[in-house]
Amino acid sequence: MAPANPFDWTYLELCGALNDISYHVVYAVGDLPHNLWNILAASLGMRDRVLAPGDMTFHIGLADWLFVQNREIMVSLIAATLLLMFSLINVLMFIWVERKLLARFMDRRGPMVAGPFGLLQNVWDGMKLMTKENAHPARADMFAFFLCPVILVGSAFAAAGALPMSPKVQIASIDLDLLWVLMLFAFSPYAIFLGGWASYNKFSLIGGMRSAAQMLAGEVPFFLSVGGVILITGSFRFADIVAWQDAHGWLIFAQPLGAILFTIAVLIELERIPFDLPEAESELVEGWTTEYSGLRWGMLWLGGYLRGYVGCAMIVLLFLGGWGMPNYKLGELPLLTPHIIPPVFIFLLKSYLVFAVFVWIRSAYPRLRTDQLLNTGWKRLLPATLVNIAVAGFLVVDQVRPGEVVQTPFGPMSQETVVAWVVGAFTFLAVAALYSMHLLPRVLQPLVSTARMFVQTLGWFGGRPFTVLYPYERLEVPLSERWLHGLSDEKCISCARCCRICPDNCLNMVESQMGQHPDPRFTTRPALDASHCMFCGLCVEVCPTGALTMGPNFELAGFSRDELYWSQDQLMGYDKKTMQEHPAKGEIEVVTWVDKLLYPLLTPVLQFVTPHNYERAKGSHSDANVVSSAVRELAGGKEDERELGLIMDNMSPRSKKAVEMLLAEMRTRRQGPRDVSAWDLRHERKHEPKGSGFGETAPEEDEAA
Amino acid sequence: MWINIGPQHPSTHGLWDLRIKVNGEVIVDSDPQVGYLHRSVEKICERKEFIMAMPMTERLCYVANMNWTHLYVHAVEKLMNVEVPDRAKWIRVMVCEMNRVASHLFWLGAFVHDIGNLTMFLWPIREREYVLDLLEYITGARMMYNYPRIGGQVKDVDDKFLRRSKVVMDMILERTFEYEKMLDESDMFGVRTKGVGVIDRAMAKNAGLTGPALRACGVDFDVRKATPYWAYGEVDFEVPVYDEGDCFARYRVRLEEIRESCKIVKQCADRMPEGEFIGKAPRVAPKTYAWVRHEDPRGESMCFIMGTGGKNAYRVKFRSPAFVNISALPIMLLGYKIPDVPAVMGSIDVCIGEVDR
Repeated sequence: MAPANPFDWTYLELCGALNDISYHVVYAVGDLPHNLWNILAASLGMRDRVLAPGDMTFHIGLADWLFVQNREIMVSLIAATLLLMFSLINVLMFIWVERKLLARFMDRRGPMVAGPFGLLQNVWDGMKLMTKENAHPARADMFAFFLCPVILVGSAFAAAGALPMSPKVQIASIDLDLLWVLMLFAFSPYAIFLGGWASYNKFSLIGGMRSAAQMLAGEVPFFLSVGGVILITGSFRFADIVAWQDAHGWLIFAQPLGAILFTIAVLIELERIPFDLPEAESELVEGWTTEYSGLRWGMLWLGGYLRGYVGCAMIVLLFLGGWGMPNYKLGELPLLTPHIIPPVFIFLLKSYLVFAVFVWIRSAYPRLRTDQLLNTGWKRLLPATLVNIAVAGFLVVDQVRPGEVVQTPFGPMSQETVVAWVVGAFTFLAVAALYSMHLLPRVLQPLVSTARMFVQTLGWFGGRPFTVLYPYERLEVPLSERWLHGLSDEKCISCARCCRICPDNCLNMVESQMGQHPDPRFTTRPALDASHCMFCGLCVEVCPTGALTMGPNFELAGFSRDELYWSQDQLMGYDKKTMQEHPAKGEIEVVTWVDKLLYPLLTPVLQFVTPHNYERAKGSHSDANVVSSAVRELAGGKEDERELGLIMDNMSPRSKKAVEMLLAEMRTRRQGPRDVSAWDLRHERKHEPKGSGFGETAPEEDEAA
Repeated sequence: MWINIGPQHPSTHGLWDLRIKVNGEVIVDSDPQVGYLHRSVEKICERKEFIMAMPMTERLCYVANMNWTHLYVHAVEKLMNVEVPDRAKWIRVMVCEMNRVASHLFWLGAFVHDIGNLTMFLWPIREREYVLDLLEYITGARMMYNYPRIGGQVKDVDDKFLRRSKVVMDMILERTFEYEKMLDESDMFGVRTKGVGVIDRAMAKNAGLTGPALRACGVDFDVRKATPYWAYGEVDFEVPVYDEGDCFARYRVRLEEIRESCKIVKQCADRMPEGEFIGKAPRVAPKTYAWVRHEDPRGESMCFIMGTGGKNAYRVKFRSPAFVNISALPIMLLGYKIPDVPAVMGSIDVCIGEVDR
């Protein structure tokens, strides 16, 4: 019988409780029509129409089958669904840890905007992938193409199901747990090879073959490096291995060589840097995953990180004591109190720490070539695993006297533990002596450098990353910065030197409409076609009066070609169309922490609620004047400008903006296309002297020929 | 089987197509195809006045554009026989060396990223940001500086710039030792670059290889030492030369060049002479020609310019070092494997803007 406190339930008891709830829910829903009929009939007094429990009942056959007492299919389904949900959330957290941690090693931040600390970034990324097309090559073998992510993700989920997380959460435990998980890992070379071949693409094929070769080279050390663990603990079952470690100390001390070899083999299996050549970007685009897009590609990522979780969890279970915390005491003082934190959290914390080490390794090293990797796998890892097994087999199995207690400086220990630790230290030192010329300084130095960078960027120690979090923080630019032009009406003398010097013919002298004309002789002012301007600053240099200047405002993005033509009035500041806005910031003023929290969460929703804002931001270059129907409704269907003008004063700024766009659209509709567009003004070339173009020089003037 | 690496590929080198013929994984032939970025810069320079053509030359190699604009301006000054004041010469050396530092840092990031080390991509880029901030302070732009004019520079440098540049160069000098720790002392980087993409002295000289790639083959040739221009004869610096001719040697040469350039900038900041920063320059050029050679971060760049007697040039010709270095690429790739291609391609430092012009 399940204990009273739900926190003391095992996983299966939890699933049983959910099963009971769902039983009642399903049968209540199934009985609903029956019950409603009875209520109706009884209340109308038609007692002869009331149905007895057995009449005209249409029990949903599926419910009967699910809840059959001795089969308990629903419990299995609930167990699998809970596992699925947990694994998915776990994968998202793993990807979050990777992105943030990798960023800090690189002196930048990771995802910052979507959710607090960027926690929801992967949710949005997953949704984005769902909205993309699952494109595939026309001649791909669709069955195999489809099957590859299925096998990868399916085997990963099955492996995740075999991992116990605490004494109470043992989802599926069999005698040969370890072997089962190792075999599920071994499905992936097949799946990857299938995917690479099915893509009908040279690069995918090469990537798939490389990946299969790499994984085969990693499989054998992968299997053999746990040989020592099996021999020492005497069992394949994870629960037994963790129990042994509770009694005799963590296996990382008894089998340090085995732990290191297993970690390297897991990295090879997961195709992480330094072993990620098959999907290296700079080699052959994306390797075997090149042709996968949309949610299929998302599945590959999911499978990859899920296998990452399984690998980390295995390292924790086999070498780091699983869910147990060491019960060290300093005299009478307990140093670590294992019973306050639930074992599940200890297990997950350890897995995340192991994964953090994987990310650290990823940040520090370049990738190895396939043949160098195969070299390492067959010539270095494999002999080390064999040495490990041999030593464990001969010494531990034969020499140990179980049950005997030995006095050591660390307190009384069983003799098994002592022998195991001694054997482990001996093997490790022997192999380290063989490789010591290379190992410590040459392989571990990059880890030290990246760790130093990580500490430097942490706010806890007074550092921060180098990056500037635009648009919340602004980069300080010097005043001499050559960006947005400014024109002074009083100083300009219409000499047109700026137009003549511009290498790209961006400036034109145009009669100023809104200018004050301090000198009636000089009424034309330069207008700038910013879409061609390269901001070289020559126009500012030649201006004799200093009327034309360039300033430090760099947020100049426009969403239509018209916005990038800055008329003379805009440059002088009379027409404040685009000059005063900050288009990069959009229309949402982000000021406090509430804004920073809410708007990234609401943005995907807001784009359906305020379409005019986001349609503009989507950059519809040719149809900037398209206004959505929602805005038309906002304008109340009124077409008369004067009436609209009366409404506009009471509207919110966003609505006013939308209605202004509507008015602009109506104006263009009425007047038709403009006679003169920015393009024509730019190409008028009034300031160029005749004969300076190609082929315009008369032959007698061309003496250089 | 012919494989196309490009014209779209994620390695950050520019727009070109490296076709390699592979036998399994081994490369047996290669055929680089360039020209995707051709913009007729030389033709455009014929139509524009000298000063208006300067932004065109800037965009030849956009990573090292101080060097290219100064090359062009030097050629024009030689054509017009213009006297450049001392201060302008020292400023030119200073900013050209700063741009060399920035260019080599960017190269280091791209090279190491191709080999797979993601962290070492961002650290040099971060260092380069400091240099870009310095140059932004005096010129007003982060990348398209448009700084030299015929006869000198457009703006003067002030004490704040000189002080700050010394601090920044000291910092970059320190950080190069950090890079050595990440890369030199790492077996994995060595295994990817040592003995990979080897070219020997004779073949290098025959192919016209110049710059750090040539100095990594054991040939001690640097235009700044062979034919010193501006103030290069008066500053104290060494030219690193290595013998092996592989990717690792090219990487070492460039890393040491970063250090040498830092030292040059600090010397210029200390010894900057007072005076004018621009001299008088005529408007028209005589109907003769001039030819000038510089040490670009990628090699030996040259500019040939011929005047018409008017305000624009008759012909401008640029010799791009990266263009010639690419022709040596098939020699370097022969016999190596496909995963070596990014390493070798990165190590010769192509900038397609100057290759295609």
